[in-house]
Amino acid sequence: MKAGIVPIHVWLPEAHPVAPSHISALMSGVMLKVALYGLIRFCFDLIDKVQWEWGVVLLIIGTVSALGGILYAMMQPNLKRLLAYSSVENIGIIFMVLGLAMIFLDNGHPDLAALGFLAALFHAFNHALFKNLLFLGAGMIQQQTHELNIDMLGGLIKKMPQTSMVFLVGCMSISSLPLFNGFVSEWLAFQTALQVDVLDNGVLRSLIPVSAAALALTAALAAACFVKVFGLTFLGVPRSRHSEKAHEVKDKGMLAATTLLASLCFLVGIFPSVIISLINRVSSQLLAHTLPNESVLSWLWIAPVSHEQASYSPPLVLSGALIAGCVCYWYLRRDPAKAIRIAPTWDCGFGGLTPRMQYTSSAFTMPIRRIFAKAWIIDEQVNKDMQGAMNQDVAAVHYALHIQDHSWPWLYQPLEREVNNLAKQVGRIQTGNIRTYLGYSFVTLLLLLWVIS
Amino acid sequence: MNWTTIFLTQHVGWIDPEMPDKPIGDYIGGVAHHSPLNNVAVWQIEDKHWQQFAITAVAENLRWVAGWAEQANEQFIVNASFEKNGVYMVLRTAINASKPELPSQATVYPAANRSERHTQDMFGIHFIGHPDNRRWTRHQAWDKHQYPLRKDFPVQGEPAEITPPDMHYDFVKGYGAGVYEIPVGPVHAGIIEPGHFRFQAVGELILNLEERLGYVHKGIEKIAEGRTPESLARLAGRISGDTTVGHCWAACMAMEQAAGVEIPSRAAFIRGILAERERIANHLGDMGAICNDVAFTFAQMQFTRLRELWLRTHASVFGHRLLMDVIIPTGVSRDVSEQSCELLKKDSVMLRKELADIMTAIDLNSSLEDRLYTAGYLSPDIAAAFGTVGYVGRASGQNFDVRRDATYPPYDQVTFKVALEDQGDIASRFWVRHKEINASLKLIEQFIQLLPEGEISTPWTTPTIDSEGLGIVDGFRGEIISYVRFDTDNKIARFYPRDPSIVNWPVLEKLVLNNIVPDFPVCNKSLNGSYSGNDL
Amino acid sequence: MNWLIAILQTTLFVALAPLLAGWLKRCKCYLQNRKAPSVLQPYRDLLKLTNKQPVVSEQASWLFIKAPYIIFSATILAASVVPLIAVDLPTSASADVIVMVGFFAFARFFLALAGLDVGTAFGGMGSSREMTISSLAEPAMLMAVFTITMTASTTNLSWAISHVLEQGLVLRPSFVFALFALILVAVAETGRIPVDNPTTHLELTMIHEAMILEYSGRHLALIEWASQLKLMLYGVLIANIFLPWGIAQSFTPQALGYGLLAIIGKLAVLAIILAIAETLVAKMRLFRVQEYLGFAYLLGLLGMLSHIILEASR
Repeated sequence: MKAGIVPIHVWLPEAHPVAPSHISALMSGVMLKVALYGLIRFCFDLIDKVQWEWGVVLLIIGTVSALGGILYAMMQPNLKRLLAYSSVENIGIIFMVLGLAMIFLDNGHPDLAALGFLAALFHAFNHALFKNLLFLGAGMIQQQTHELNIDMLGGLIKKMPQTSMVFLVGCMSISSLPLFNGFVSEWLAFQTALQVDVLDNGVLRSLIPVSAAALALTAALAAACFVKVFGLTFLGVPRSRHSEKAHEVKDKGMLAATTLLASLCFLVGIFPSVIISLINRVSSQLLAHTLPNESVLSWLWIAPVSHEQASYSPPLVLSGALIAGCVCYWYLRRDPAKAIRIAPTWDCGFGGLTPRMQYTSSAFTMPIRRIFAKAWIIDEQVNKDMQGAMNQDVAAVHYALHIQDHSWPWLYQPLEREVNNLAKQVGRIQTGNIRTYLGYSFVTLLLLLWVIS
Repeated sequence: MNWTTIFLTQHVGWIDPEMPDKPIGDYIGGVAHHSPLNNVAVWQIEDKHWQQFAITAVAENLRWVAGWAEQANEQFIVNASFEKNGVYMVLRTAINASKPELPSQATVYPAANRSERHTQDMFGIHFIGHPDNRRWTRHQAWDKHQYPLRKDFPVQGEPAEITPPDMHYDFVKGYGAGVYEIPVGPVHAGIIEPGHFRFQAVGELILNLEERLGYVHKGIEKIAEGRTPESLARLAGRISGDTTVGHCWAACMAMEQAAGVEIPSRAAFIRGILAERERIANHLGDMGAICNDVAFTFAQMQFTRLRELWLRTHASVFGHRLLMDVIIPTGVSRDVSEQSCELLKKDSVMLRKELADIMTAIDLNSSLEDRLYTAGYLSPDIAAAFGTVGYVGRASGQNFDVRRDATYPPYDQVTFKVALEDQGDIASRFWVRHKEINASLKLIEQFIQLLPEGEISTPWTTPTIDSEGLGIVDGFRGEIISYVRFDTDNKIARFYPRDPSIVNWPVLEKLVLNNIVPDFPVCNKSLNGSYSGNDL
Repeated sequence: MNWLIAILQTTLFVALAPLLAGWLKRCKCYLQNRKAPSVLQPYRDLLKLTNKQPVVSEQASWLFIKAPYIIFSATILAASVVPLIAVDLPTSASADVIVMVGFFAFARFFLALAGLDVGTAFGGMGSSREMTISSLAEPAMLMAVFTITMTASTTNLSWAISHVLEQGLVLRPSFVFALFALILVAVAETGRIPVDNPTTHLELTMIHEAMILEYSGRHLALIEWASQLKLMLYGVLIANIFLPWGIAQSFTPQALGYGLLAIIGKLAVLAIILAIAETLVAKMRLFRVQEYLGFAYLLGLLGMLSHIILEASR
């Protein structure tokens, strides 16, 4: 409950944004982890034998939370609410991997359980880093612009260069891009999921890859979400007077704190082995197992299972990136005659681009909203003021969009209504939609496999 | 007895008692040598009945066709044309130039909206009650109180060095969180004419689309004044490059009516061949362009190839790839020889065969089908409300074709079927074009077969002052109306061409609703309005 | 020595990418009964662009100017992971296939941000569409990749290819499904018809092109090159995983030369197949893409299931 798991997460995006930013940072970064700590203590420590069924439950809850969290986050125009929802997503990811660890543990693969455990704890650590960073960044934006609605922001990269830099690092980490810390833990999570071949149970063997694909979807959606956040907040043209008049944070302490977090995000992304060895101590206490052969060249590589199966060397990758980038930069920038010319943005010859001509939060996420329409309760209204002959002349257009979490009505509706709904849901099985039918057949297949095994 | 007569007997009270059937010359104060529009009833009513007439007309299911005005000394003469069952009429009123006001018909007919705004920009006539009094053709090229079509405005205009962009046009706004605007044009990435489109959108969802045209205003109406008939025909041929035959024919028809000249039958048949060949060339181009807009390049290349071969025959038979200036007042400038007839016949056979092959391939392609069917739906009701003509109207069940319903030589001597579709989507507009190509091929074959011997032009008679003519022909986009009035000495006093695009453009704003942003280009291409013909 | 060959291979990758684009264009022209430009035309275009002075919007920030370099480098890094002519090179050990997908995400992240940077509707439109499509394509891609990696029990591409080579030519249903899934994803990710139309001039229908509308000069050259590289990368991925025969397993000049010839041949054939497919279909509606990618995902899933049910030997 405290961890903020779908569908009982609704308090989280309500509570976090109202707190001052440094408090919300702590709430997301630390408080949620307390719940996680409790869970780990309970499952891995207090209880003698872990049942793999619990792992499956955790895996499913985690998958739903991760996907639900990021989809809900996507639709938020309010920066802090968005970040709070994204905490739901990240907690979901941690739960998924913990679930995997439990499954492996009960199936007699403590080494792989250790890997999952490592991925979960590493991700919890990373989440604490980048979510703190992002909340503090949001606080800095709020302080300077008095706005948290990203439809009112824009162009801050020029007004607040340092803030934008640290925020960019946060966005890249949370989008799990290589070279940053979020990627390492997600990579480890994928590696854990891919060890599924060692299991005997057919259902698990097909369920886990599907959840791995869900994890991939989550990661990709997170990237889309944070492209939206950074792009609309910091790039483009200011959308309101507040953001136009914004300037860099004066308080050195604020900048120092966020810069520290940002550099940690980067350093942990480049040298994950340091944190891995720390976490290994925890897992050796809890599981009496550490990573099989943790690494060959410890600070350079991570190879969680064996070198033949998978390896990742962030320092090498970084140096490669630097070499490639610098070479082409140097090559192309040699000729001073070809210096960049600054010109007005192309306006199709109409003259006069305005901030209204930029994408907005609901515009950016509209394709996602349409594709995953079932994930929310969407109330979209377009009203037009018509006039003139045969009412064919449009005078003004009014648009209103309300997106609600499914959990609200589900949680608070009386049981009776629920039963009614259920009856309706049954009637809705025949959607006529091929994807839904495929979903049904897949679920049936899984159930049958379960029965057989 | 057609509807105009019945209508007249019912509303006889509206006829201006002071000026019953008075020709324009009387307003001007000259001597009236009036030759009435011989195919069209002209009514003169008092200005106060202007709007009332429209209300009655819309109840009688009359289609609003065109509106234009002109200055006659201290008065503005305002005209509007209506049509029903292929019979046209012109409504006329005179208003005082010192207080140029007229009740708007745009409150009744959506089609009159932009036309009245055009008149407002050009003459400074205020249309009372007009739902939308923003400028239209006027951008920033003239000062606020200059009206280019008034007599005191010089033909050359008084252009500023560079016309500033018209950036403060008051577009319809979308309100609500998340709404943004997409400005597209007037300069596009492709090689198309200039026009600005303003979307109010949320993501891919189009809330509203507004067109802003007028970027290719060339002052056709102004520079037509004082021309000779030959020179006007050349000008009309350049109103919209792809409809050179259509516009030229309409202008010549109007002038010939005014002058009372009857063209030889052979000339009429050659004009028919020209018009149908122009139609085929443009339809081939359009069908290819529709395919290209959904990235089906293969079909586009094939259509382009066919069109190119077709145009080369134009060049070899008529001396111009786009058939410019073949039609002249009094007839046509080029005869077709026996060999040319054979060539044209062979061309038609070849095209029919090749087209059939391509259409089979297109018909079988489900990915193309998915793009075209149900997209860009224009309901028959909206099409009727806006008086949509041509293939756009005919794809939405508007069963009207000037060639059949208000027939003129040579179409009165042949039989043909008007292509019709009723689904109203892009596919309908695509297939209606295909049907029209086949119908045109048959027409060309009939024309060649029936081609009478004789002269290709007759001598010109100088028309009397104030003789008027209204040319109505079917261009490839649909009905073209050309109004011509002569001054003294064989000079043009007023020329107004109404391109079909003028009434077709507004429905684009309607048919893109319920489509997503990336489907707009193909919707636009399926309509293929002329920017130049609209902006004049 | 190994490092030298690895660097050589990556350079070869970068150098050959425009050639593949030129060849593809040539095939498409032939199929449309058009005269084709020389296969070297993409090189000339890139050269022309690098020699031009870049014009940058006054609204653009540093991110817009640096993004092309970042995108290009990230794509090169992704290329260095994929074995082109030889397996078992050190670069492919430094990162596995998941990291490669990560590099694509990296490049895309910056491309989408650059689209938003100038503050026009088109840039935002492109970014929004690109991020939507990629978030659907990534799970499908990983599903296909997981099938392969589970079969070979490694996520390292080099090892996976060696594994396939060792197994010999076995018809595995899982591989067939994964192959088709990967092809569908590759078409979507590289912005080819029917998902995106790389040659369109219609701003409103663009996806990739809309994001880079404001780029010019060397910046545009880098982005164009990166997308050519990406196309080649997917081609090589498909060719070398599913038909790895011919790739050099030792570092003798003979084996390397043979590997080079083999991959050129394979890519040429793949390009012809792609050109035929692009000629046959129209671009699909934007909101059909989820069905298309859903189908790809399903194929990947079927591949996975058939591996688990039919092939796993336990």
